[in-house]
Amino acid sequence: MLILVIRTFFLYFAVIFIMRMMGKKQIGELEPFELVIALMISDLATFPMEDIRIPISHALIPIITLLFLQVGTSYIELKSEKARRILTGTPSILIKDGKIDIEELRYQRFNINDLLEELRLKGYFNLSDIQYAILETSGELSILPKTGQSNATKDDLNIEITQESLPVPLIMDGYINYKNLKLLEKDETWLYHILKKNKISTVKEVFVGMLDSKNKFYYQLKEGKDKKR
Amino acid sequence: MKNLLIASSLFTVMIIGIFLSVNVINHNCSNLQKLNSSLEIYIINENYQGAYDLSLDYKTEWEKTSKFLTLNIHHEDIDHLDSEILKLTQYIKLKDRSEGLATVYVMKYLVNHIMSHEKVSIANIF
Repeated sequence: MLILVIRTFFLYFAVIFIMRMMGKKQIGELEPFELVIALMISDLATFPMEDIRIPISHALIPIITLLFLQVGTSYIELKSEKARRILTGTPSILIKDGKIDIEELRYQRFNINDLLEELRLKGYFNLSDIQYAILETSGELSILPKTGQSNATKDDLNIEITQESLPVPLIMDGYINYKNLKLLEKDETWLYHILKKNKISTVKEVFVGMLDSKNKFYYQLKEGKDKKR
Repeated sequence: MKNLLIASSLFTVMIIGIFLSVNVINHNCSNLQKLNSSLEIYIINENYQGAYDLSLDYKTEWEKTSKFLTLNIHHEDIDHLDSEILKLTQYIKLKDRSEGLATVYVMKYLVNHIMSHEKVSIANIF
């Protein structure tokens, strides 16, 4: 029985390594050949995990081969437009200039209900609101609404704004994140000054402390009640 | 680019490893086949003492070989050969010619089966 645990550990880390090598895309939206690889890897890793008669090499060899294939194919796709078209396909325009392309819809085996459902999921309930709908190679539908139907932006309304920055955690579970502090070009003295201003005596009291996107210090104490800006 | 390099290196190392492993498997299996042939001759000539000694040598050789084989081949193939070797020692001990010969023949087939699994052939691919 212990051998099963060891094998599971080994294969788990091997698959994580392979998935990490394949990049973030593998975890999120998948291209067809990436999906195939993800499905195959999951299957390949499970069999030797549950059957100790199968040598681990029988799983590792195909997994490494798949990794090589995936990385190789991605590289070829990057370099060649033709290869990209063959392996990943091209996006299909389902609605063009506000009109459904019925032929394309048939070709993609996408029925009108699927299209309406996808549009509803994107927040568009009227077909007449859509200028363009494009079925991406990952199976996602991208929509360009008619100009009159799109949301007004701050630019449209001529509102003056300042660009928000990324929130940076400075204290996590009572410990100072020196790396982030350095990133902000601040030091411990500055942080202690901020804490003092918020009537916090030690860092240990803070569960989370961060500089939010508006450059304001946000914190929560370990008791979980106090929350201030 | 870094990923491509790592993946390619990993793949190259793996392919070299596979070639070396297949060579070792074939070498070990050829040795076992030679022992099988000798065992067969001993049993045909009814030299049971010689056959018994050789079967014990075979067992020792197999124990060494099987350690490496478990890394590369399905353990079921190894288990089959394991049980045949154990049977053979007892058949020889009891001077059972027909069972002994049949077992050696099965052992020959099983060793050959291990080697044939590693061959790059149409039958193996499909």
